[in-house]
Amino acid sequence: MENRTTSPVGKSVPRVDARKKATGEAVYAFDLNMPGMLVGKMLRSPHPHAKILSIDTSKAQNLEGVAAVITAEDTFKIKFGSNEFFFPNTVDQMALESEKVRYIGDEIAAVAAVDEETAQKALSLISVKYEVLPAVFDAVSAMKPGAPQIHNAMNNIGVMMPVQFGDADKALKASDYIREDVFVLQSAAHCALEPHVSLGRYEVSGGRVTLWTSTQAPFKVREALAKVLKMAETDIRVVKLDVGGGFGGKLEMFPMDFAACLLSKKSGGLPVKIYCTRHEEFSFTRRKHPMIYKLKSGVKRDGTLMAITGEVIADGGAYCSYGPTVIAAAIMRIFMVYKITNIRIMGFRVYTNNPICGAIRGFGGVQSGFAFESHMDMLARGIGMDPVEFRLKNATDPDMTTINKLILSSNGLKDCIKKAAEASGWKNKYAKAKDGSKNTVKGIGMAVAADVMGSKMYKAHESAGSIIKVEEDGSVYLFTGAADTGQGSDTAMAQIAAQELGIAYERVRVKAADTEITPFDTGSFASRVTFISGNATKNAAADAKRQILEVVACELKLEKDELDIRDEQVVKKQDGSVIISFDRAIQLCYSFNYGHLIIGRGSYNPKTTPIDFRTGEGNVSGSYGFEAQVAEVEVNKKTGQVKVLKMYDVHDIGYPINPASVHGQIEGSIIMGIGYTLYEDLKFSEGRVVNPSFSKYRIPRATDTIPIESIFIETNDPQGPFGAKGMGEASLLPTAAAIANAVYDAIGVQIKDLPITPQKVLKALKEKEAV
Amino acid sequence: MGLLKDFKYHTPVTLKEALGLLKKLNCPLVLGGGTFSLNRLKKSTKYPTDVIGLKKVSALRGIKDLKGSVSIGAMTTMAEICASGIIRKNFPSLVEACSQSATTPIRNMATIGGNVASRFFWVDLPAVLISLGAKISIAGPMDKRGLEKAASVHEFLGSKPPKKFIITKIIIPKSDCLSFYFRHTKAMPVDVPSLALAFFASLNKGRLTAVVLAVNTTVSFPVILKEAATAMEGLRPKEVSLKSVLLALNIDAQNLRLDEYRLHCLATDLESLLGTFGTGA
Amino acid sequence: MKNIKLKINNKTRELAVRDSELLIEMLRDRLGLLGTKYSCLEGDCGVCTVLLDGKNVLSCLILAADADGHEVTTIEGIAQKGVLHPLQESFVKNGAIQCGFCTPGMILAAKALLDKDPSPTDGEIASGLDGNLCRCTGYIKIIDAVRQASQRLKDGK
Repeated sequence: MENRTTSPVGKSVPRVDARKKATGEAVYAFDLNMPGMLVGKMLRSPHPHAKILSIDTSKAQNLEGVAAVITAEDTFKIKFGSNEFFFPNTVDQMALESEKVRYIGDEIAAVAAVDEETAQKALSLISVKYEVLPAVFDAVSAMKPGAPQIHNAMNNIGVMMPVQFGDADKALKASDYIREDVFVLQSAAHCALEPHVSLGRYEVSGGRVTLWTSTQAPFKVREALAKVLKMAETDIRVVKLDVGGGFGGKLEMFPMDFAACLLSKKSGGLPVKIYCTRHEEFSFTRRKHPMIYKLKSGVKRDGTLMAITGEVIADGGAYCSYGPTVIAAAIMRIFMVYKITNIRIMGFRVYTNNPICGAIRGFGGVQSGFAFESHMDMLARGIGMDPVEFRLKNATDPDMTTINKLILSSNGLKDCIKKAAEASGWKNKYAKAKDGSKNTVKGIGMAVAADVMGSKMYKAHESAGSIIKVEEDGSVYLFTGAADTGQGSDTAMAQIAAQELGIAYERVRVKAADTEITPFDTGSFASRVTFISGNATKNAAADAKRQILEVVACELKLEKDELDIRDEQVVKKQDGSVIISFDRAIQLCYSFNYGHLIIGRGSYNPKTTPIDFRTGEGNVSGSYGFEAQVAEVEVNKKTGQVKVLKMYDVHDIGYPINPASVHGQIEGSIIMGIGYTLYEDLKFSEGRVVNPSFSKYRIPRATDTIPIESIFIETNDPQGPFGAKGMGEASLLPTAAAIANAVYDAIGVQIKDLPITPQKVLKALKEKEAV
Repeated sequence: MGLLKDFKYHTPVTLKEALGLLKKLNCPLVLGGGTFSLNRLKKSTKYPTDVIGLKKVSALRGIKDLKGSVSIGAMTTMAEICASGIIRKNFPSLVEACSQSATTPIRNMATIGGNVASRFFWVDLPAVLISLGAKISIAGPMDKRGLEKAASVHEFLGSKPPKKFIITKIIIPKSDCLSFYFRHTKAMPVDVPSLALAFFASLNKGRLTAVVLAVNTTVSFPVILKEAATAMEGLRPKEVSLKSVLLALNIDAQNLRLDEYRLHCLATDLESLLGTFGTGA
Repeated sequence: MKNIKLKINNKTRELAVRDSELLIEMLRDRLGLLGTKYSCLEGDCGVCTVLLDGKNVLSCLILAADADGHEVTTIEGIAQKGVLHPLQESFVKNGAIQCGFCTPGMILAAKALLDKDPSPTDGEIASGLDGNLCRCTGYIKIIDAVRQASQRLKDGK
């Protein structure tokens, strides 16, 4: 080994997979090619809402070069959903629809053929008779009586989430200042650079199937496949290779996953690969829930936040996907951030005949972050209070239990706010008089956020497991279910394993996210991996270390509990004196007298309390992360363009396992957030995405990047591995509000619907002048 | 992957060979840089059986500094135009337009001829070429003795194109002039422009003459602002009044299908333009 | 079919390609060079970037036949005998690689930039990479990596 980095936790070690990605050797699902591999394609509904009267696949089946055609008739017609455990009534989708289609893109059949052209031709030969039904394309209209009925849900309300604590009306009456605002949030796309790919191969003799797919959650995909294919989970293997980004868009089973498996079965076991074009990515996978967020809140003159009332209506598209979690997160995050005891918010997640909305980085927290944090600024201004002071007054504290029973143990929110104000020079910049003669004006704005770091939202447990195998030559394999989609979980797990085991980081090889080989892990979402999978890995490493020290203690007649492994040496804990080297210790384990294979195992289930979805109470996560962001902007009053000059992000991350990775996640999130705030906008017309390309749906480019000052607050979470909490989504949550608040500071108008386009800024300036 | 259906690809090395193929083949697609055509082809329902690629025709390349003009081979890429000392010296607004168009790799591939021949409303170069009084040389298979026809870019876009043609070069007259290019985008330069304004004026004893204001509206072929140009005609740059130009713009605007925002952008561009003259209201 | 002769990663190759074969298909399907990825296939994302005579271009918009007589460099041709190019080293060391899907194209675009302009400012680096999308990093560490690599190349290391 050239490099030996011991005690790697807290160091920005190069990622375990960086070199192979830099040389083009990384293997993504689309790179897999197998002998006899067929091209699969999905047949999708051209109508937003229609009854399927008949499907005739005979011509397609008879086309030369077509190996298999499937429709719902080839399936068990079992419905699946992504939030099944807590919300059984949201199980509403079939892998291939047989009775009705509910959005343009709804899958009803699939083909496998020898090449692209034949598969395309086969699709065109499938004859489908539809009875077109009236469709509805916005949530408000869909909720009205008489609107087209999409599923069986009354008024098309798929999820209703009433959250109520205390007496909000009474508290409003006791307020000195009340205000009411409506915020409108647009839909957006994940735009992971690697499109969805599914490669299925069915082993006819054993009745087993392997699916290689670009996914964030292989175990979730396995579970859903087992349900709809009516197979045992052990007969299904889902393998995650390198993944080119997920951001929440690859967090569930897709019909193409199912189709790749079933087409392979029907083709006599030939591998079938199905992939999405960019157009299909934008139009037919998942997207962000657009929301209308109404808030009416009251404060006392001294800044005390008295009550929050409101309503959020989310357009969920044709099926439920992660809708319940999104709506819950769109409301519940407020409890992590502010001390609020009187609150009444009603959340509606509504079916429409638009493409499906699902999880996307932030899980509803981006939309609610914009609404709440803009609203908070406006409340503060209403009583003439500095927004920083207002937030400090109402922010949650460490070691507090909220009204809905969240246990915020380590909580650096107030420190984040203070540090962000200090780093940005808030006092010297906020609410300063502007030079009216100039075209461009600067402004500064703040927003805060909190996020779950080890939450349970999916199954009864949210456990993760790890296995560590130490080979005879001292090499170490770590088997983890955690799915690295680019956020660096493989690296973080290797660092944690090496740290706990007391060895060099470079020894550890990570084998991850293969349902047949690695222990269970729910997947990469909700910023859970460092905390949950990290703890499992730490436990596995501790177990391996215990086994090694038992052998050494036995051989050298020492007390096991007095020994440790540090810097690749077995040492005495008390004075650090070296007993033998790690390599020597392993040789001992594998020697004639012992023959003790070192296999460490660990699992971790975060300490939470079950959420009662009737009351909204329950400690949903083992840990919470906090942050404050400050945006500096420059607004051109002539052109209406908003330029973000700099962002400050101060984050309570517990402790950074790999600082460069954490900064990288923060920077990536903030730039993504700027895109959502200023120009990303997935547009629709009669249920069809009208801008399904990177040229028409703009995402940030290298020329859009800005200076970001990213600062950590280390609160050393008592439950986190080495004090770490995690990082994935949180820095996306406050960005839009920080920018909107900064725009207010610059030009005195609060833009309440995103994206903040030049047209909106000019219109708002014009209206302001007219007053 | 089989992204494109099969076609026969012809790669002539001379213009004569290319024109011969154009005459002989039935509805061939002419491929320049490929940045538009290959994209369109992937989504096309009407597929050509033959494609003629021009990349090997050396006669279509090169930038020539002639006596009263500069000749740019139609297959010259936008990147080559940006790097050309001849173009930078004579037509800075053309360099400005090329450098703000699309992205670096596209500019390495996209050609000036293709940009005009595409006949898309939203492409960057026609407006600035019109402002510079550029002419294109068009060769067609029916021309006697292989003669090429010249047409102004404005005429070419304003009339029905010949059924089969190859743009061979773009010729821009040299003059002592001022030229500027302003581009509005959705957010940043790499997008399709929301609007672009190209300005050109010759300087005759310090006075603006032959003023051309060509606007890329992106919803039509470039439009010439006649009234606004007249408001500047014959004046010294510093004497041009923004008020009169904006009044004239209102008249021109009646013929433009522009919404309020883009008209506003146009007005701010004109204000910036006068700013470069060193004048104000 | 067309017979073409070209240099790929410094090796001269003679190949027979379909008339309608795109360069990305030739590289991936015919030659097994899987480092060049696809993402949009429309020229918007830069993921399929290769170098053509040293310039960064989009292999999804070039016919394989048009590479005849030219020199193509893919990500596989950047490291020399297992030794990473300073750009690759710099990307690895600076945390400029997250999911890695944009990385091959990004490194090639950066190489084209530095070969043309060895001392770019941060703004010039960003402009040079304007054709390469990244959704993970926010570009900050990528620009850091290119800046550091340019310094190392100038110092002759």
